[in-house]
Amino acid sequence: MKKIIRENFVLAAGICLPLILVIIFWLATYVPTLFVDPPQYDFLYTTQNYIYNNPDDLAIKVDTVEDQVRIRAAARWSDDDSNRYNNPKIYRFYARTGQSIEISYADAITKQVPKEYFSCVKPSATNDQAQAQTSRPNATSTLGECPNKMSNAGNDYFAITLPELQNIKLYKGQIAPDGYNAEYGGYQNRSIFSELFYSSGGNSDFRIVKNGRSYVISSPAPGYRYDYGNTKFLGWIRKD
Amino acid sequence: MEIRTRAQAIEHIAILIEQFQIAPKEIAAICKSKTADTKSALLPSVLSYLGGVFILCGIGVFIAMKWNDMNSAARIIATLGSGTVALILGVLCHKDSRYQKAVAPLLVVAAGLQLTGILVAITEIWPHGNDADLAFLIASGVLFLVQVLLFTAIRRTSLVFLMMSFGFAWFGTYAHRIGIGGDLVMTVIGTSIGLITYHLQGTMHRVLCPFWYFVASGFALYSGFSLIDHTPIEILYLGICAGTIYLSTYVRSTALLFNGTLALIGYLGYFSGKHFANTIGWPMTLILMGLVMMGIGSTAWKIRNKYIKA
Repeated sequence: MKKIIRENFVLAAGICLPLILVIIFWLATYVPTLFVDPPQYDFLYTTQNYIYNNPDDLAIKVDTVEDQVRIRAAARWSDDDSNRYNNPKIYRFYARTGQSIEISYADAITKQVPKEYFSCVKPSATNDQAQAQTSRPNATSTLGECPNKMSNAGNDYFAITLPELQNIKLYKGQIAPDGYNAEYGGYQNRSIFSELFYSSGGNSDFRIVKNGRSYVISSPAPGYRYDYGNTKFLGWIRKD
Repeated sequence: MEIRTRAQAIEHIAILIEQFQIAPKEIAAICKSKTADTKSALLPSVLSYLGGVFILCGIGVFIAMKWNDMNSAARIIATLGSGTVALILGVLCHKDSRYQKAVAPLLVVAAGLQLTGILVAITEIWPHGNDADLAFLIASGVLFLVQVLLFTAIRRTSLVFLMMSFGFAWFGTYAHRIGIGGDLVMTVIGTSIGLITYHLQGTMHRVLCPFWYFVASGFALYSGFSLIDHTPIEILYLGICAGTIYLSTYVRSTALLFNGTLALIGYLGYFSGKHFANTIGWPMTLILMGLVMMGIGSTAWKIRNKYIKA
């Protein structure tokens, strides 16, 4: 065996090189797990399918005010397909399981946005009728009939409360008390070391990292990519 | 004596001529008849290949037209079944000296059809699988093993080509799946292919070398630049290009020389645009680049004639 390898050293090197890369990669990801504790804190984040629209056009706005999440819904929130598709989705990352679960707000909006606003933008009850309404090129023209006028941006949004977020308070900043840092990996300049030590699925990923131990936040929906700017970290959830 | 270069081959022929007292006339007669054979066989060969392409396209279009009317079994049989039949035909042709030229095309077509067939089978069996990486891992892994097993029985160059293709496709997909950065993987694949190709130069499969040297250097130079771009060691890329050109003279590969020269010109253009376009002006930079391209092109040609073709 030794003789064969010695005689075909270049061939053996060529075959072993990819294997060596995989071994180094496994060591680089496994060794930090021996010395760094797993994450202890859950966190909240939002994702969007498109980010090209003007933020003022968004039907749902999610941000933080002091240590709490604020969700505001425009009365026109489901008026047309593109806006509905563009709505941010809220996720809670569970540190214990490593899974992200969506926190839905659709029902809360239906219940909490005053009915008179819905009457001007959602006249139909069935999906087919709603489709017919949205397919009209000037569907949004009905907004002019709404109370308070939809163009008055300050009056158009309603704060929504969700039971899942009611008692949640957030830490300020990207770093959790246990030292994990929420990082967005899109469009970064990477060195050969970051290529090795940060596991990634391309140029766009979202992860939490502490001293070389890294968790990639798995895609919340099939085919979804954490592309540049479409992911917003809201905050680590306080335990007290 | 290991023959790696043209010069070594000529030297070896000279030894044989002297050893067996072969007259130059005898060699000239053989060469003449070979040339005549090749010329007379050219037209039928071209027409045969064209005919083969037409038949294959016809079958492909027919399957595509009927695809929606087929059930799962029919789809799998049309793709994987055809691939398996082509593979069997390839093996049978290998055993018959009259059909040696058909072996390589049959094996390559078989591999393509089998790859499609396995992917179709996976999609039909698990329609909601939604894991393209895993499907490709299975398909390329199975086909790599098939080529390895076949190669132990049939020492064909086309099987070496297919083994390398499926092996590196499998590794690239696996590395992507476990999360290793794409540029690093491409650099390693490029280097690995280069080393294996260097080994192939001393074997009967050396006909593959130009293609694999081209792929290897293309991968390594492209991804190598992405790895060190915008870093303090970016300037070292000039050294990598120069190293590739030197390597091309050592292994006597025009493909390596071509890619090395292209990368060198490309990097000089990138560097000039980045650092000089706003100081000496874009027109001057273009003129300078033109002169650089002429100089490097002419040098590359001289290197090819003096160290590679000699």
